[in-house]
Amino acid sequence: MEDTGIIELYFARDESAIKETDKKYGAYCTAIAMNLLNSREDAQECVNDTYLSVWERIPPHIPECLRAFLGRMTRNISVERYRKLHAKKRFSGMETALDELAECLPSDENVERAFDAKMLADSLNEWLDRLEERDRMLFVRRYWFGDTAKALAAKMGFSEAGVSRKLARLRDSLREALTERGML
Amino acid sequence: MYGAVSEIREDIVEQAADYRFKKSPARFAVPLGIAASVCLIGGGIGLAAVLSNGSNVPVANSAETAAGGNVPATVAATVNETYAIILDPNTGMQVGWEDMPLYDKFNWFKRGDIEFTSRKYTGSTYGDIPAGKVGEKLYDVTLTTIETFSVKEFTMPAEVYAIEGIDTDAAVALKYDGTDDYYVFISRGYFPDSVGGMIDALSLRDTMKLGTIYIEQVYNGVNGFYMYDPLTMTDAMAETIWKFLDECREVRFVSEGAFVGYRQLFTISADAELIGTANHGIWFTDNGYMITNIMEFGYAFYIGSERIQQLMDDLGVSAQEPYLSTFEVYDAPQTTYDTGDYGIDADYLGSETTVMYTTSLPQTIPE
Repeated sequence: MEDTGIIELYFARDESAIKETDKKYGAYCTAIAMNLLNSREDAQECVNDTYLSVWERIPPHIPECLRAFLGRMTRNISVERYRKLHAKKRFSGMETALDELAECLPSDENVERAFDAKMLADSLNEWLDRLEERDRMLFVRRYWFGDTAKALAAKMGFSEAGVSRKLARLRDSLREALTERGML
Repeated sequence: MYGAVSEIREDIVEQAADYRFKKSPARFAVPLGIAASVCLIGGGIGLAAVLSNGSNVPVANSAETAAGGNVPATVAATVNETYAIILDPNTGMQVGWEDMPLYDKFNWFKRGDIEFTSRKYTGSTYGDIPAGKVGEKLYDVTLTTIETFSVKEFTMPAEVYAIEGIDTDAAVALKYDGTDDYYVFISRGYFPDSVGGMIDALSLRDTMKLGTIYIEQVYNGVNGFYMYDPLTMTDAMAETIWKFLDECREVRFVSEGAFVGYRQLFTISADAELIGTANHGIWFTDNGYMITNIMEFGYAFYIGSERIQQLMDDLGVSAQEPYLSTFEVYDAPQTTYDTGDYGIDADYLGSETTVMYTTSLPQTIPE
């Protein structure tokens, strides 16, 4: 079904909207959640929460791109779940990716105290725009989608160590960019 | 803190959702237990990326250069192995600095403007040099590495030696201070002047072992791989190939020029322990080039189609007709072009950047 048709089902308050969403984008959302949480059970719960949240938001919201809307919501819900669970135990999924980023992003406290979070997001987007496409995609696949270095290595034809080196250089570059803007 | 990542623009995320990375198999050296054909697949395309000096622009065809006999400016190495990272194969986590072997911590050095990089790494087949093959001491170096998590700089003094029979401009042996082992480091600035120059400088007659012949069978665009029909190398075949190489000694090196718009007719896998080469390849193209990555860089020589055909006749192999009839070529902005019949339009590809191949048809290999 076309996205417009699915959105129309939401507007009509037809519960088959969720079924159609799951049919078309269930695997996409589950993959995002799984990458971040490394637990099928937690991932499935996050995807279900995503559907519920979408049901509550459409209408009145009309997403320009349904897949992007679902992906972002799944990611945000998964990150929230990760935060809740993180205090109890350590994970090999999200944790690794976030630990890597910790070295080049300001802490929550600093962001709240000194900067508008949107400024940080804008800076991040500007920095991404300056990257070569391949590097930009690598960064987003790793830190937005949560792909593992191993998975990226397979996609790119590199060794895992090669991917890690590339990511390390990208993080250095991001750190420099944020430092130049006085955000670090 | 991670909210910022969630706010990455939608168009970027959407592009990444469907993004297909162009594979860059800089190393063919995967464990030999895995089908050797896997190590050879995609070599042409991958090397084009590796050899494009860090950019994604495919290099131009250098047939004219070959005819003119001038060796073009070589591609400068941009590999900078500043950071030492190893991932534990079982956990996927980074191995701690203290637990890393020296050859993974300190894997490159510079001599003047020339960078030398190690062939020894965790999981590598070769890269060690027996003490009996180590020649005279050349100089001392200090290797520098930045450890990624602490961002601290570490240094390691070492001694550099010649490798018996190998041109020291091409490869050297390195011994870390306080240890007794020697490891191969190859120059990222070495390019042979001719086929004969390469054979002599790398002592290939003595050190290179020819492996399986892979005849191109079909381009499997779905996975971005070539598939090959393997043929076991016999002594007679090996001798035929060496005779051919000897007859081509004067053929001049033409840099990386032939990496676009060709079809691989067949490929020969090759090991050369003294330069740390495991399961790399020498391949022959339908537009007359012999290309090899035995030194990681692709070295291309314009042999000529007739001589290559003669070699195939002498070996008793023939290139098979590919099964595919149609595939598509994507350029960077994801514009799709249908090239029609199998074969890549060289002029067309030469004008594009970030070329990626895929197929428009589901692929099945006929009985």
